Amino acid sequence: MYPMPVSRWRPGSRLLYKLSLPCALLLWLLPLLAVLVTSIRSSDELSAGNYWGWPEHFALVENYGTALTQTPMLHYFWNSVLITVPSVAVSIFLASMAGHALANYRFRGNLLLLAIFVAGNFVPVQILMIPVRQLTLALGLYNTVLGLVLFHTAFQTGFCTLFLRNFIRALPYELIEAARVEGASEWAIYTRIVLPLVRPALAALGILVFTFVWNDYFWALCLTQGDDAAPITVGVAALKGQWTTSWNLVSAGSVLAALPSVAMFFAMQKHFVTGLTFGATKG
Amino acid sequence: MSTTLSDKAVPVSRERRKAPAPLSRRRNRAALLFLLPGGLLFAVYVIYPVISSIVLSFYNWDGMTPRVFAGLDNYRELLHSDTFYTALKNNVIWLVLFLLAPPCGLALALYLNQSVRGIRLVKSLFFAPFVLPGVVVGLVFGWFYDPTFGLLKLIVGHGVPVLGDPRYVTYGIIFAALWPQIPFCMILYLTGLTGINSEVIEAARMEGAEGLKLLWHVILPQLRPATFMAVVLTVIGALRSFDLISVMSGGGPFDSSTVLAYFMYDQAIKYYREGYSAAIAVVLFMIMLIFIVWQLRRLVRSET
Amino acid sequence: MKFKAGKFLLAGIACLAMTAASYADAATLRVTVSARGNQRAVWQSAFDQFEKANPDVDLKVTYVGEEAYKVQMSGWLATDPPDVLSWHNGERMAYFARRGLLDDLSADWQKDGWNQTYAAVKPPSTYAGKQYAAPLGYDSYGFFYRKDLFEKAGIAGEPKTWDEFLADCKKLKAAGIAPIAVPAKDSWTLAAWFDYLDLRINGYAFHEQLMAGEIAYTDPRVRKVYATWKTLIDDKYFVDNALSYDVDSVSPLLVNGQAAMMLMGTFFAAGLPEATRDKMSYFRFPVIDAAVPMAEDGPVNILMIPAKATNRKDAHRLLAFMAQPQINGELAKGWGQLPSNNQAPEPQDPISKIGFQILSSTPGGVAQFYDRDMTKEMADEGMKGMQQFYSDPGQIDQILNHLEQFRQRIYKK
Repeated sequence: MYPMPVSRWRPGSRLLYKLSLPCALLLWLLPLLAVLVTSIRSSDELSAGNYWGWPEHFALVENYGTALTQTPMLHYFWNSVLITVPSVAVSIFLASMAGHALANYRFRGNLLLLAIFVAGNFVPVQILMIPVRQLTLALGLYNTVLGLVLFHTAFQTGFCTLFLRNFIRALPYELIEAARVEGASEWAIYTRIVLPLVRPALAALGILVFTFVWNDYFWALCLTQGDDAAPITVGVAALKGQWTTSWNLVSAGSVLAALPSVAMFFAMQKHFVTGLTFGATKG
Repeated sequence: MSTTLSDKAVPVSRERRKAPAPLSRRRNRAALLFLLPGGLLFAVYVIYPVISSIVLSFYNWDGMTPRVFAGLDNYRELLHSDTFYTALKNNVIWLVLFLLAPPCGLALALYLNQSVRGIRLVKSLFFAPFVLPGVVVGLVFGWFYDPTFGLLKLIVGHGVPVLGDPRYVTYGIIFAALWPQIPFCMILYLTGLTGINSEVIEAARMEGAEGLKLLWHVILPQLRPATFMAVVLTVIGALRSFDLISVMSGGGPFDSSTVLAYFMYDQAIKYYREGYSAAIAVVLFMIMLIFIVWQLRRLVRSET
Repeated sequence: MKFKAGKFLLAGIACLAMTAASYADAATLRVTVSARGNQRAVWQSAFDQFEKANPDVDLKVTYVGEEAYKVQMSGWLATDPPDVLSWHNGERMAYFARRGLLDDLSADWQKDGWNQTYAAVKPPSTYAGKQYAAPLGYDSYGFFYRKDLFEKAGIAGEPKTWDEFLADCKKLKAAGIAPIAVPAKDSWTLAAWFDYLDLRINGYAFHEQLMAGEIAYTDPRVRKVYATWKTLIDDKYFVDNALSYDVDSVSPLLVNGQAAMMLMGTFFAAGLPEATRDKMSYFRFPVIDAAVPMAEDGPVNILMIPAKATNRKDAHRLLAFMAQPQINGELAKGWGQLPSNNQAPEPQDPISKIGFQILSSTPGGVAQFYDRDMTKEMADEGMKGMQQFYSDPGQIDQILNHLEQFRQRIYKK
């Protein structure tokens, strides 16, 4: 394992490392702490310029309460779940298949297809704005959860295919050869050999795609209207006050909106264990 | 295991596999089926719109009335526009400075790649900036830079009008944008680190390699796929940077911090100039294309 | 577990969608309005009253956040619009009227008496001789100031003339207080300054011509506005680093007493902490040239009916209802604005009251504000020029030349 596992360090260095973690964390998360503190700060203090000091008056219940009730936040939250979970699941699944095809099969145009996937990723989203909207309208999917799911799935598949293709490429090909010799079908090779080995990559992608889709505001703007299919990002944006922005409310809403992504990351952690990949090839 | 791109039957040596014809056809069909669903969705929602936008760049259209053919007018206007060159310059600055993210991400990944107690929580918390919406990141850093009440003033001693000064504003925004981008690269590297062949590391250690030499000669080459992704995605992020610019400076003061992505959005949304906006998008895409081709060539060369 | 619930919900949504579609066949009135923060509640109470008075109409309201609204609106107008939309008056409305996307409301102005009750705001609601807007509330613009800081600097009353104003600024500066705060990062606040200086120096008629793109930016009268502005900048009467503050981050300066005055709309009062609000009052932008009749900025929000709306009959009924003095007053009060209906009850809040009185007694005309009177593209370029001017007043010649070239491209096209 790289770097040298801490258990093999000198005790002095080990202690230093363990102490450094909370310090580094505090410094790194200072802006995040500011957001958290702002979310319980009252509007008056914000108007007085007290951005970084300890709040004199705690408005936790008011802020979070208002954030949850001023607009139908729970409904938006549910919409976000309905949009994000299928998008993540389907795009990773489709991308793993496409990545497997591009990495392990030789055929003419393999590289060209890869180039197209890469190029598609570089496309600035604004360029897609108008045509995708027209397309969604034409399909009758405007202002629906399904419309957003289809778009996100399609768009994220490009990015995931690229990532997985590279990852799968680095896997030892002997496994596949061995399976072929034993007469396994292509599908079995994919499900029994490739998929288990790409688990860390799938976990990482799961988190990334989840975060991208969950935090998306731009496409919610383009493809929805009003409350029906709006995700939570629309709800947070709507918390901006009438003429001056209620940043404490926006912070409260953002904290609520950010929790699922962090929870996801925490849950996926166990897939980042070293040595998982190559356990299968030994012996 | 070396691989070839040709599927023609060639005089075979023991190292190369020779696929009998029916089997290779079956494999090609399998490859096609694996590619089809993802590829089709991608083609419909990404490729087709790109082509559609390229076509649109040759028209004038306000989104409401019928479109009018304009030939190269949009491009000509673009090349004469000051804002275009400012945006281009800023895009270059973004590209260069944003590439600090992969090395910082690598450093973080190395720092956190241990199994002490609670490291799972620590990793999750380091990742947290990435999940915050751009609006909130922009807001907090805006407060950091505030010349009267901000932390920067407390640290430096006097107010530095970062976001109000056309010379500093882009740098201020890039600094803010790096905060979520670094954990993004960190994840990619953490993933890459799980895939490192520990036998190779042990062997190198036994030969006496350690520290930076070990990193440079043994680890980094194995992390090449992760580095590729980190660099590619950081470049995409730099060229796409939109949220933070929109929130922290609105492209100002007087357009000094605008980038092509923001310029394009402005033209389409505020001024209903869809054709002109498409032209800007095409130019941005062309720039990216150069980078894509270069990266791809490096990737292919490193694999063959 | 999650998947099962998901499937059920998707099925449920599909059923709802089908039922909703069938409902649309009945006499539905679809209304989409822009709503920020707690504006929803205010809209909703008015809509509820309409429904009670008109039980035969099936009212379906969609609330859209302000930014989303601006992005999506043009798309609706072009394809499948609701029956009633909210928007801004002046050139913003004219932009769509010009393209034939709005329904003509001149008959309503006639029959519902709006020609009398909304007389002051009829010009900005008109395009090519016809009216297309039903006015809602508007804001008055003037100087917010800290009464206690004025006392501290030894200023007796509110300045009525420009000379008095300059003298007051000097006293404030001597007392160590920044006389004027301006959140220049939000460029429209600089536009407010331009508007008022132009209205006071050159008058409403000239201002409207400039907004319509008929006057060259290199005209000496335009230059005079900037020259007057420059004296304030040269004397350092504005707060330091103004370009770093937006409307949100500038209020601490007023709350903490670092700045004494700010040219802003009356809506700003609602965002101030109560303790500060008690110390603040409000005065009209001073007279510069006594020969020029006083004109004001009073940007109006409106309701309009898209030309492609399906249920226009009920849409007109809704507009007639919302335009009544009492409803107009309620809406304005709820949003911290001023009612544009001159029969509406006068607002009670002290600052709004002053604002209302100012706007009701404006002999010179009510402009819609720089970026609503002018084509958006030209307005944005103009405001950028103002930021540049503010940052470096010496550049004024280059800026005006550039704006002139820009104007020729936009308006001669």
